[in-house]
Amino acid sequence: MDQRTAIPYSGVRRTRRVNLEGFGFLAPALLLMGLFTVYPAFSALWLSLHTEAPFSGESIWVGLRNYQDLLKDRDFHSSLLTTLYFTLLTVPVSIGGGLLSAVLLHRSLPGIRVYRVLLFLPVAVPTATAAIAWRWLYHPSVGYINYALGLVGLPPVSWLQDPSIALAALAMAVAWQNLGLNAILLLAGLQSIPEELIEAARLDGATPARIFRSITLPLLTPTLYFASIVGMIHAMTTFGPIHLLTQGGPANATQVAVYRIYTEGFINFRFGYATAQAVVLFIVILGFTILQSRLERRVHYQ
Amino acid sequence: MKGKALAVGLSILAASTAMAQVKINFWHSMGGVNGEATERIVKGFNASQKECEAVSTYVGSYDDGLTKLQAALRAKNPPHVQQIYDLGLQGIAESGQVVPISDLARRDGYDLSGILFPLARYYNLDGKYYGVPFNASTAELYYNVDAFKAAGLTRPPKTFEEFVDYARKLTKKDASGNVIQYGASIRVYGWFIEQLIYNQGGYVVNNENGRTKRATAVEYNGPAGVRAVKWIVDMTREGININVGRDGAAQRQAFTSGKAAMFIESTAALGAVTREVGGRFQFRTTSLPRPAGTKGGTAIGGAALYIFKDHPNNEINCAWKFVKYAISPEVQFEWHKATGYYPVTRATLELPQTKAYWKENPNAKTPIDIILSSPPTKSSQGAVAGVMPQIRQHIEEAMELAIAGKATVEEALNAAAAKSNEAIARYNSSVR
Repeated sequence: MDQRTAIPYSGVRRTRRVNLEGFGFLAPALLLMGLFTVYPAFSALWLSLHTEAPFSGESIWVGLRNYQDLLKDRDFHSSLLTTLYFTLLTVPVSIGGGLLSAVLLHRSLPGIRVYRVLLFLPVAVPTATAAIAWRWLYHPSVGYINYALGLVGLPPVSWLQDPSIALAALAMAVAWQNLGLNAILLLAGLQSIPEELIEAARLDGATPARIFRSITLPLLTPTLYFASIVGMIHAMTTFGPIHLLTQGGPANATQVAVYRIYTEGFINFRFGYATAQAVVLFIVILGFTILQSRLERRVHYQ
Repeated sequence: MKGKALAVGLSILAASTAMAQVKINFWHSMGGVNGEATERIVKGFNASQKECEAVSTYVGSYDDGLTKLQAALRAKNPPHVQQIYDLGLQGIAESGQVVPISDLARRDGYDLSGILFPLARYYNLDGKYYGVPFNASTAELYYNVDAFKAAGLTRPPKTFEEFVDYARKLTKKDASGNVIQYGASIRVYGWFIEQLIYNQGGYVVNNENGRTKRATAVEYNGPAGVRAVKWIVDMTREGININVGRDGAAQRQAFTSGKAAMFIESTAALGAVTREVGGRFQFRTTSLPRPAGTKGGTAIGGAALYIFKDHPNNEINCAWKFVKYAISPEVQFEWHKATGYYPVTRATLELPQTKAYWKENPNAKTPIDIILSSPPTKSSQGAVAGVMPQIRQHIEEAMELAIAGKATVEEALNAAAAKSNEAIARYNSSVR
């Protein structure tokens, strides 16, 4: 039995007291969560069964009509698909890139600390600042990326103006920002792998590739699992960069569900309808999270 | 010791008079340079008299401000005065939440007829001012005089056809075929299309822009709208107009960096453009081009100040005082100088300092010339509909589809119009 979780045997009463004490410590967090997460979630559900006239402040009960309308709303369906594409574009890149960076950072090269800071820096940059930096990098005529392409004789690309490229361009910007966090997480995972295991394998004549595949990777699975769940939820609710770079355009190519909810609610003032969409998005994300949690069976905890 | 006691006494007195002041909340959406100018107006008002104190809050973009207003109205705690953009007119007027400015003006004999006619025409709904125009703008053409000279062009283009011809002449490529200077940078922006429709005497929504009766359908997919959208789409596809998407800053940057020789933008950007160009080249502003053989004028843009109900009388009075101060001649002149918005009353235009300022800054006078020469029709009065913000998005979506070659201009506009009509019907059924 694991020493840390064992409770010294002295009867049930003691355990209950420990639990009560525990809840006491949790109370402030639970209170805040109840107030700012659970209560709004339920009032959102309630709001999604209403409709309202702009500026009048009154809500009219419409039952499930908002949900019935959603079934017919093609723009909403395509926004869900766009969300999925966006997630598939960002999560693998930010985890794969994070893993690669972590493996490279794990070696003790001179000046490695500086590299670690540089890699983590994008995570500390506010979304708005990062988005504005990308706006200039992607600028069709004065942007550095097109400038670099020009230096090697390639034609400029309309990164954010071409509907077939815009979503990928946005995904790269977002993946870049998430990569640093994954790299640090995975680096911590790498550093917690006992040196003896690798030493032993090396003595048995295993190649570095074999060590990585059979020892490092399995022991990293808890971190990878965590990064993939957090990354997916993050990707499916990305708003800032889209608002600042494309506003859902061109031709709806970057209209992810969250952005559509924002326009319906805060530009068109259809709060009930927007909340109904938010509820559907919540169910979709919950579904994906449950699907992913099946992966946990393949996770090796030490 | 005595001095100290006196000072304490005085400060207590000052504090008590400060407490006696009537505080009013003023919400605005002016950031950057324009925001600083707004704060100066608030400070000036507070210094100008003793009984009222305006407390200003920047509430984000016009859209964000409307969202916050919705929440405030639900909480029964609206601001006293809020700056709300032109498109909010019908929704706000029909909300029943504002004190019509005309009522307040009638009560204390304030003459609202000094407001410039084009603004009066826009903001008057069923014979009433619900809000009073505060920052007024107009779409105009900015062009790079040096680039024009280099291409042998001596005056700005007046028609769509001429503009295309100019844009071709101004587009320069290097040896490997890459564009080093575009003719124009015109972004995807619904407001421009609206203005280009008015410039041809057309309507954005039916019932003469919603001015004779409540609008029930859009008309932007008619001939005037198709011509305007086609003009931009064709130039973009030809590669003489750089496609910057919906991004206003990117559009401006293309011009101010010298990468594009002409662009369309609000007069409100004059300050920013002047600063970014920094004297590296000469630029001028002029009215928007229009298709040859058409007639019309530009409608106004910008925002108005609205006073909200559900406040005690003395607070409403202070709010009204604040509004009067904000549109008084000297204040509007300073505002005009700092921002690029043009004055809202005739009295400001007639100030000697205004005339002197224009002599030195001809670009600042352009919007006044444009707006005062616009024929007073229902077209240039500007469209009113409760869902104008949504209509604008639909137009932008159509432009992007057409630029990407996924639909013809007509197809894209018709599809957008169907969505807009649905939204109008939904709005109209919600207010009755």
